[in-house]
Amino acid sequence: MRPYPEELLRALQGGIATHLAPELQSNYAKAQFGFAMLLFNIATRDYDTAVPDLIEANRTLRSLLNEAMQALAVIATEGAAEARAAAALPPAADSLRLAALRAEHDDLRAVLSKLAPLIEAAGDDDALAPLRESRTAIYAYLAADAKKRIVPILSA
Amino acid sequence: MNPERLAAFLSSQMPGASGVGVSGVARIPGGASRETWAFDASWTDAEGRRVERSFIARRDPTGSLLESNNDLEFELYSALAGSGIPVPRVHWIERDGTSLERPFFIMERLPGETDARVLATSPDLAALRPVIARQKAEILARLHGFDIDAVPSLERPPSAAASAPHEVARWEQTMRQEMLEPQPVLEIAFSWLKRHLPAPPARLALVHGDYRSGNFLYDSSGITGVLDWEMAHAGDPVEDLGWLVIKSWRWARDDRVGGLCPRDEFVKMYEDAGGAKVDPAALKFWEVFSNVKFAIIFITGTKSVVQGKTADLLLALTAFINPGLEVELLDLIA
Repeated sequence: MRPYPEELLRALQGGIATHLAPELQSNYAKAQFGFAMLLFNIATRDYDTAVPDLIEANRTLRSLLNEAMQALAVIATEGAAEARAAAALPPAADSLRLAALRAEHDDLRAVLSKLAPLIEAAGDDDALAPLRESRTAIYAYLAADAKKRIVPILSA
Repeated sequence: MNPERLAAFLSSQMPGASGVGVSGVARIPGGASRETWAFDASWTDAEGRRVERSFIARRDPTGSLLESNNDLEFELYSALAGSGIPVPRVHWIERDGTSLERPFFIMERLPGETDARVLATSPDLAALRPVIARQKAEILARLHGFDIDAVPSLERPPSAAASAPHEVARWEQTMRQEMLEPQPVLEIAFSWLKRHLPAPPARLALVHGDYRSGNFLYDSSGITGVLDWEMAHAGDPVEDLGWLVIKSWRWARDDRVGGLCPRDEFVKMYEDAGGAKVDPAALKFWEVFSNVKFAIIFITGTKSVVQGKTADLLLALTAFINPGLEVELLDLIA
């Protein structure tokens, strides 16, 4: 039903700006008000796309990790074997609820975190050369993912 | 902050004073690791003269971007008085929080502004920027020559050679304690840092830990005070240079460090002022480290917000600075 949550957020933002902002006296309170308005904008921006963004991110991450695992399989170092054993991929989310999708996302990022030292070192360690393609793809994914989350006013 | 309780505290610290009054109590925005309050006080001294002074109170927050130590900041300000490094004079410290709910200390209020964005971008301040850039480099060189033994509670690594590994371990531990979700970019960055440790400094130096435009006061004469010492420690002096060159502080949105001058120019001014020669590889290491440290500070703030320890909305907002830091880190180390 209307108003949708994102419409409510905008209404709240407008109401606070109209009715409360003029009452603020101190610089500190005015600064907090400014922060609140920015946070409203972020919440509104992220609300509508949260589910499709997580589904897409989880699919991409799972694919990248699968490729990294395959690359790891041909690396005959003890570290690679240990990483493969410690970094089993988690099951996919069993519903489209945000909580389930976020849990899957965190689990996938935890696997990526475990592989991070090998992926990073693959840039100049020839023993880890089979991971280089994955390294490039994972760095590109992480940069693109971070860019999507940037709030322009907060970034230099 | 309650003016009556503040006046009562001042009375208790100045037995010869009478008629102590406090006015104009106002919280200064920013200062996300410690509350900063400005106020004016007046009293009649033992000789019957009316005295008026402006002060700053620094009070522990309920939740913060980082755990820090009031005692250390107070001790540093005391030790640095008369050193040629401009700092406010500190007056009183209360460690148990009886008077104002939480621990705090009080220092003099110096003249000047802190707004780094205005300093970097205002056409009216174009002539002042090179003056401040030079002073910033000279003060930093002087600060790095300060005797760390004059500050006994300064945290220090076991040796100069351990400076970088010590800081990396300290912030990695903080990340593991504070993170609410996996941080793959920071894990990658930590791996890079451990594989690119810089050559150790000749000796341990006083490191400010947050030496940047925005943490010093300035007026038309230049820098009037260096503030916000809560992350000070002993370590590699290049750490301070690595912090001040990061992209987040390039307020003019170009390559000028701190929005003031080109990086190479700043490094040369620092070296000319007596700072140790700066190895570019070490500077890059500390630049990467500084982006990691900055991101972990915001992770700590996020936890304070999520756990309801603070209502400071700045801490909620700073979480959204991290994506930009992640992009910068990947650019630096790819």
